[in-house]
Amino acid sequence: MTANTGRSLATHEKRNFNFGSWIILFLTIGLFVFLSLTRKNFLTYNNIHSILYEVSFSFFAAVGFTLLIIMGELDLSVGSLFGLGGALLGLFIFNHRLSVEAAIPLAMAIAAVIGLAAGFLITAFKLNSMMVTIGVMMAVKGYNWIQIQKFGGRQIPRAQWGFITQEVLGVKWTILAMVAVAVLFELFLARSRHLKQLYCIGNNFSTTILYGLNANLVKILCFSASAALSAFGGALMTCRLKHPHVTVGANLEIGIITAAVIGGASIFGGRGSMVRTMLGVFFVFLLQNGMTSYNINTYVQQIILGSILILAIHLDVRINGKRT
Amino acid sequence: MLGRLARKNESVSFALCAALVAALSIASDVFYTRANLNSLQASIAPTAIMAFGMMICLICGYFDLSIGSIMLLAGLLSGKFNDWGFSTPWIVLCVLVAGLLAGCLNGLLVAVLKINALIATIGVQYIGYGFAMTLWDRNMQHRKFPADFIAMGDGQFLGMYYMIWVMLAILAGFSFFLKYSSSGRRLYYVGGNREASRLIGFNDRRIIFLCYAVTGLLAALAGVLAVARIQSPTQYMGGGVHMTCMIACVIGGGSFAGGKGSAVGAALGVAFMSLLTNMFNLLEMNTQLQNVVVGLTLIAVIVIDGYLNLKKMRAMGKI
Repeated sequence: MTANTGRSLATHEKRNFNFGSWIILFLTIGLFVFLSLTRKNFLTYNNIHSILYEVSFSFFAAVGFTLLIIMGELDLSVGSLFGLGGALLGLFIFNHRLSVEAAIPLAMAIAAVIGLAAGFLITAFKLNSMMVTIGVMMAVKGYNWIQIQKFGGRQIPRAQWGFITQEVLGVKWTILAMVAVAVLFELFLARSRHLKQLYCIGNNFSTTILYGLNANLVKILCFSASAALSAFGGALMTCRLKHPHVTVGANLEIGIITAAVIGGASIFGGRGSMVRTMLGVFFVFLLQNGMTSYNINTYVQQIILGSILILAIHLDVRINGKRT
Repeated sequence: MLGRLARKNESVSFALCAALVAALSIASDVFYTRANLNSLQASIAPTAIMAFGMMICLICGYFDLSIGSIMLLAGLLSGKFNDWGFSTPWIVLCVLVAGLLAGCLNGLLVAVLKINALIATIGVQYIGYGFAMTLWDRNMQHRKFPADFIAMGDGQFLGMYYMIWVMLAILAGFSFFLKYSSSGRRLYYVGGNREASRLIGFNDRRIIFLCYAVTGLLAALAGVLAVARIQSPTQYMGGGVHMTCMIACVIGGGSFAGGKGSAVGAALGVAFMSLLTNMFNLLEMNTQLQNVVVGLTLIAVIVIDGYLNLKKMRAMGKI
């Protein structure tokens, strides 16, 4: 009933290609062309590959975030749960002598429980999801610091992190996994009944309940999935760094919100797409890579990224805010 | 009379404070030393000054998460202005103007452009931190402030720092403003029922804009006082202070739903949070563990506040 791009539920919308909702594609291409023309070392296979490699970890934090933003909820704890994945990986490998195959699922399970608890509190008491997840963010970040300080820079043995460097056809497998996850979710969001209902919940929460949908349960499950996937990304990132580090996932939430919103998601809910979020994350990392290649100070980069976030939200309010 | 007093929100925070003071004086023998009481004062005063700003935002039903960055910005800017050779009154004036401008930016984003208050102020916090840290350089902490600037933070009157007196003056001013002035009462109208306040004819957007501007100003004032007290700018000032203020305001009788709260409650809430931190420090608790506790406290406070709101809405038949 809807075109597979804008994906609002209005029936009169029959355009096949919505220019506005794919603005992220043009932004990314524009930035890409600009950097290729102005920077000498930019357009090399190694550079692009390494940017994509970085993006592939952070993207996992954005998957659950996108599902939640479609329902109009914002999860600010993705950054610190990303870090928690790394901290728990270190804990299980160093202290409990587990192998990485056991450590990552365990870390994901613990993160999933945290997400479950946060989701339960948010839906049961009708709380503002941002406020609760700020609390979760603080508590988890503190825990990460305590754990990682105890490790004191110990390295993860090669046998444990070796799997992260596997390549398929000359491309790191995490990049392929990222693309596969994005495309699969995009298809499911467009076609499957279970994921399509997220748009209904985001568009009109009370009507979905009247139709007999257990919207609160869906939200709780998505919070849990968001936490687990963030921890997964963080654990992979830690394997790449070869040791748990406190900067893993620091300030990631700002980049992820920016990525999702310039990727066409709306903080009012009911909009969003996984492939465009992936492009958004890629855009944010490309921007950071470009700014670094222009020798722009990290803190100035922070000012620019924050301004882009506020601008993107402002446009979102202008375009989608009137609806509600 | 006593029953009415016990039902007031401020009495909860007062009781919590009293319990903590009692526990601390029994458990620790250094609690009543001069040095500890001084450091307690120096932690209460700037936080409480910021909490007043947070409280007026909360009364309107909004939040300001950027006060920590504005405080840091104020601290580093006063160091910068000092490097440029400004005299003390000019440093204070310029920093306060900068704080006011940062507050106006928040107000512009939230009240005029109608961006969600949490995202807008988190964005400003992020930008403000970046902006403050571009001013920062390592040598800054070795340069001296003029003596009269330091006296502002270090001087005492009747055994209490000047900043405590400044805080008490602002407390008295805000209590009067919120309770007896018609413009102060308007904040409660806006927070309690936005639509109704608009129908009466209040310019709610102007009120919210002014609340954010005043909050920025107060955060800058707190930053100046704090930096005068520690005598040199540091890059660690203001970290997590927005959380402390928010928890303090809600413990002191504010609500995330708006329409509730008082200046006395904010001050008592801050006193509670400072006593708690003081207790953690006396027990030699890890700073990061303290963050975990603060984060969990925030969640607990939000949940209790949400539960009470839900109960009230059910009683009013809105759900």
